[in-house]
Amino acid sequence: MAEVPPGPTDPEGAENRRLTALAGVAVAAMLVAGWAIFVYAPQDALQGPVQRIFYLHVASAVAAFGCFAVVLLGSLAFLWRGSLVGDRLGRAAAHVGLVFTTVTFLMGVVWAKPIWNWDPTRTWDARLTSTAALWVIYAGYLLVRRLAPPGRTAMRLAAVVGVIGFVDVPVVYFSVEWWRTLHPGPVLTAPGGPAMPAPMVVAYLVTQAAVGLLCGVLVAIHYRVQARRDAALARAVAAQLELASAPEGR
Amino acid sequence: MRFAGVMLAVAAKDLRCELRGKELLPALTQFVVLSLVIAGFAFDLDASSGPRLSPGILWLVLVFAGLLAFGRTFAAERDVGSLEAMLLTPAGAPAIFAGKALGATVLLVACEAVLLPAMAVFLASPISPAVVATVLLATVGMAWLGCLFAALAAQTRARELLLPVLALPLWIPFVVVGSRAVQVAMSGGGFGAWAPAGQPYAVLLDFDILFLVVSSLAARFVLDD
Amino acid sequence: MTYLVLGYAIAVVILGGFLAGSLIQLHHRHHE
Repeated sequence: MAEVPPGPTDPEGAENRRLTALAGVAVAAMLVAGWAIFVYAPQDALQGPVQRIFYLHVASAVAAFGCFAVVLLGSLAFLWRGSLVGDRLGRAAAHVGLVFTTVTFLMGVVWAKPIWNWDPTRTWDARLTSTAALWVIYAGYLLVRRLAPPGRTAMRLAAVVGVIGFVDVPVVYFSVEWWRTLHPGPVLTAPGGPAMPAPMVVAYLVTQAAVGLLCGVLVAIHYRVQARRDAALARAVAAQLELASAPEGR
Repeated sequence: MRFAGVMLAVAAKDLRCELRGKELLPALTQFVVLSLVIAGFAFDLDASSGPRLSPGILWLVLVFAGLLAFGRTFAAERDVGSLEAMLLTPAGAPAIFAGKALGATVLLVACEAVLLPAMAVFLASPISPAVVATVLLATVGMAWLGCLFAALAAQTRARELLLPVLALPLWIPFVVVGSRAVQVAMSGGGFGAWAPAGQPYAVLLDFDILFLVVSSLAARFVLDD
Repeated sequence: MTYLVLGYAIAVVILGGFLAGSLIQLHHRHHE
C-alpha cells in the first residue's frame, strides 16, 4: 500500500507541522488573554469577580457569529458557483461555530445565575433563547449535510440551510430581545463609545484577538482534514474505476 | 402572469386532492380539538385562567399543527413522484413551490377556522377580528418557511426529525411577535390599537414579506437539481 | 467567585478538548 514516508518530500507532514505550530501560537495567545482577563483587567465594582466571564463569553459569541458568516459565504459560493471549497469551508466553520456557541451559551448561563439570581424555571431570557436557536439551526445544517443523499444534493440542501439560517439569526435575536430581556444592553457598542474603563476594553480586545486566532486555526484544521478525506475518497473511486476497466486475464 | 397561474393551479390541485382523499384535514381537526381538550385538563382551565393562557395555547397548537400539515405537503408528493414530473414542465420551481405553500396555508387556515371558535367556546378566549387577522398573518409566514423546509427534509433520510429541527428555531420570530400581537388583541386592543400598540402587526407583516421572499428565492435550490 | 471558576473551567474543557481532538484528527494519516 502506498504509505508516504516522512521526509522532505512529505507535503502532508509539512502541513501538519504548520497547522500545529499555529495552534501552539493560538494557545499562547489564549494564555496571554488569560493574564489580561485575570490580572490586568480591574475588578468590576458592581458585579465583582464574576464579571470577568464577560471577556471570553463575548469573544466566543463574536467568534461564533464569524464562523456562521463563513458558513453563509461558503453556502453562497456553492449555490452560485458550485464551489466545493465553499461547501467544505462551510462544514468546517459550522463545526467550530457550534463549539463556540456552546461555550457562549454555557458561560452566559453561569454568569446569569449569580447576577440575576436567575432561575431558568421562572424566567427565560432573550439572548439565551436566541443563542439556543442559533445552536439548533447550525446543528440542523450539519444534520442535513449528513442525512441527505450524499454528494451534490447534500451540499445543495445544507447550503440552503446555511443561508437561511444566517438571515434568520438577527431576526430571532431582535424579535426575542424586543419581547423580553434581562441581558445587559450593549456595553462595547454603546452610543458614545464603550461604557467601560479602558483597561477592560483592552483586556477584551486581547481576548478577542486570541479567540479569533484560535477560531481561525480550528477552521483551518477541520478544512484540511475534510479536504484530505475527500481526496482519499476520490482516489479510491478512481482506483476502483481503473480496476474495473482493466482488461481480463492480466 | 405565468407565475400566478401556476401557483393557483398547483394549490387548486392539492386542495382538490385533499377534498377527495380527506386525509389531512380530519387529522388536523382532530389534533386541534384533542389539544384543546387536553389543555383544558392539563392546565386546569376555568373561566379566568382560560383567557389568560389562551395566547400560549393558541401558538402551541398552531406550531404542532403546522409541522403536521407542512410535513405532509411534500411527503405524499414524494411517494407518488409527481413532484419530479411537475418540475420537468416549464412551470418553474418558485411557482410550483408557491402553489404548494398556498395549498398548505389554506389547509392550516381551515384548521384555524375550527381552532379559534373552539377556543372561544372551551377556553372562553376573547377571539376578536384582530386576533383572527394576527393568526392569519403569522400563518402565511410560517407556512412558506415550513413548506420550504418540508421540501428540504423530504429529500433526506430523517424527514420527521429534520422538519422540526429546521423549522422551530426559525419560527421563533412568528411565535414571539404573534403571541405578543394576540395578547394585545385579546386584551381589547382591536384594530383601533394599530397605532403605537399596533407595532406587533406591522412587524408580523415585515416578517411575512421577508420570509416569503427568502423562501421563494430558496425554493429553486431546494426543489431543482 | 466559584461561578467565575466554573465558567472558565467549562470553556477550557470544551475549547481545549475540541482543539486536542482536532489536532488528533489532523495527524491521523490515511492509508489507502
